[in-house]
Amino acid sequence: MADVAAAELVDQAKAGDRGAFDALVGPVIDPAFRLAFGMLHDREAAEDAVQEAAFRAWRSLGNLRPGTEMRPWFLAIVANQCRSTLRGRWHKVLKLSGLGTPSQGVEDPVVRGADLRRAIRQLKHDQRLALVLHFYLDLSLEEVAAITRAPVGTVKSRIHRAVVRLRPQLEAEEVFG
Amino acid sequence: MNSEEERAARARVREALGVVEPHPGLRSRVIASPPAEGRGGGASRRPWVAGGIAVLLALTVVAGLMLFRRGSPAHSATSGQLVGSLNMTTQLEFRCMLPVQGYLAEARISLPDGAVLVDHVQQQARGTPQYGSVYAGGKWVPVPRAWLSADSKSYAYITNTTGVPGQLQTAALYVHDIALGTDRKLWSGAGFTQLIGWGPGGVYFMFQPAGEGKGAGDRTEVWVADLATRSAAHRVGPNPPQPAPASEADSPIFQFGTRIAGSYAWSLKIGSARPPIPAGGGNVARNPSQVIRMDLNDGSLSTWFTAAEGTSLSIAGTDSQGHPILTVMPTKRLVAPPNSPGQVPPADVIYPPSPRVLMLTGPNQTVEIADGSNSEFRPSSVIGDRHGIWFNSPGSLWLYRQGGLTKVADIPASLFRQPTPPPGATSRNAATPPPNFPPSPPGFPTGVLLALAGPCT
Repeated sequence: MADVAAAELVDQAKAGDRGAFDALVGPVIDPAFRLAFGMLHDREAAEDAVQEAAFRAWRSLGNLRPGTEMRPWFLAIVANQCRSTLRGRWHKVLKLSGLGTPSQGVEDPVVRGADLRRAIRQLKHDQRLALVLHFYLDLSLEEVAAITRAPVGTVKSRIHRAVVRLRPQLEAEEVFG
Repeated sequence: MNSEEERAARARVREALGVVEPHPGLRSRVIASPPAEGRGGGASRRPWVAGGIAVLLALTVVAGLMLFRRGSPAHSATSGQLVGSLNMTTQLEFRCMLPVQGYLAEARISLPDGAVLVDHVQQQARGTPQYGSVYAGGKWVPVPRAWLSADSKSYAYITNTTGVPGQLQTAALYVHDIALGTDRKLWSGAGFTQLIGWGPGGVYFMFQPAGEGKGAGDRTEVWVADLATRSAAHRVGPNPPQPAPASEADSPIFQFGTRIAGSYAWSLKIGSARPPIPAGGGNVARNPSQVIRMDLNDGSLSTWFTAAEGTSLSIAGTDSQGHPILTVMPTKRLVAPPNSPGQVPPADVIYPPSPRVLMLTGPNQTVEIADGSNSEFRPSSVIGDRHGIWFNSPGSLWLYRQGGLTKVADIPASLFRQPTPPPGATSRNAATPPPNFPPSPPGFPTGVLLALAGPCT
């Protein structure tokens, strides 16, 4: 796994060497997909977002400094792509209209989480991103800070605010947990 | 938010979102999405220029493909191209890219979906021999895996010079820096050498000293050259020194097929043929072959495996723990070559049975990977990695893990080019088998044989 962007790999990837591009980006595709899924809550949209992010990453290779850590760099691009997707008109039309109804009393944990997922979707983008990175991808606060390009204190604050906003759903979930 | 509250919130979020895995083909889809031609970097700053160039490039690629397809089979690939998929026969639960080398092609197989991404295709065989390719650090390096350093930044190679009147045969060991493209001579001497590979403390090679002195030319030694200090190479073993082979048919140990795993070198002592050898061809008895282990710390030797008499033994590779993987062919005899035109060897020599495949776990202790009853499983290339032990076979790909051997995929012949007769060869003057040449037995595999070129990462 290419944890950091070796200069020669970057040069080769820029020259169109898919092997080098795979060495750089391939190992972070799984966490990228999980991030996109955590943000978009839709498998196909998440895969499309990762693919588009990879294309953007390839176009941005010229700005990638040798020695840059690949995971924060690529996940930041994925996060931006997710923001663009969420801003897209058709995503709002299709996804927001299908939020469903509250599901209290349902035993299936996946169905039971619908309220919480809906509440997560209604978070501000920055709060949602910090929450997904820290809680869903298990990234450290420092790495979340690197991806979101915000100080660690700001990241902590965003997560705290997100949890406060989600508290009704989180506590309601506990009743059935 | 205290830690207990955070833990509970984390668990609720994870439960609500669920555990999702991407589609197995996502990685190959993503990697294939940028255009093959190198335009990274500047495009984001000059989107319109890039767009125009992209259109031109697309037209060029289409035109090039049209011209290319006129002169070569339709299944041939350009650089980094998805050419199709293997027919997966086992659903793997992990994802990785397995580098393989086909005829004139270097490719990677995306697993578990089986998508084949061809990185390089040569239009025709090179004039100079290529001993193999290994995929490491995101690039293909045109040397066998053993020649490549552990950090994939350098490879070692040997030169042998012979045939100069009045001069002894000489040899030299070099290390090539891949990034810089520079070569550095580590050692030179009078004699014949063969590279073994990288091991503890440097680069190991076999050396047969030339000259007329006592012992010269009749023994094979293992030497190591220290890369870090650039000190002169020194002899490692065998300890005690081995005598010259007992007969001409005996092979000296530490010659061909020697492999290093951890602190040990593994080699074969091939059983010699026993006279009489029939003048017109026929069965020849042979002595048992052995697997010899050399401790690279002190050069001491020990015999770890002795094959049954008459069987044919080889070391196919090692697993990720350094255990040798052996193939044992149930060849009951050697067959002396016939000396009359039209005479053909027996069918079981032309179409040998499947080998037994064993993992050597201790002195005379083996784990059987295959018992030789599956005619489809005829491996010649082995790679051990964190997923298990990968095997090739004609037309298929196999994996041994958790004590079981399974066929992972069938390889469609259309994905890779096959060797073709040289230019000018026609059916009239091409070699044709004699009329009594035996047909292949039912189930004898004849498909595409891919060499494994690195671990699945």
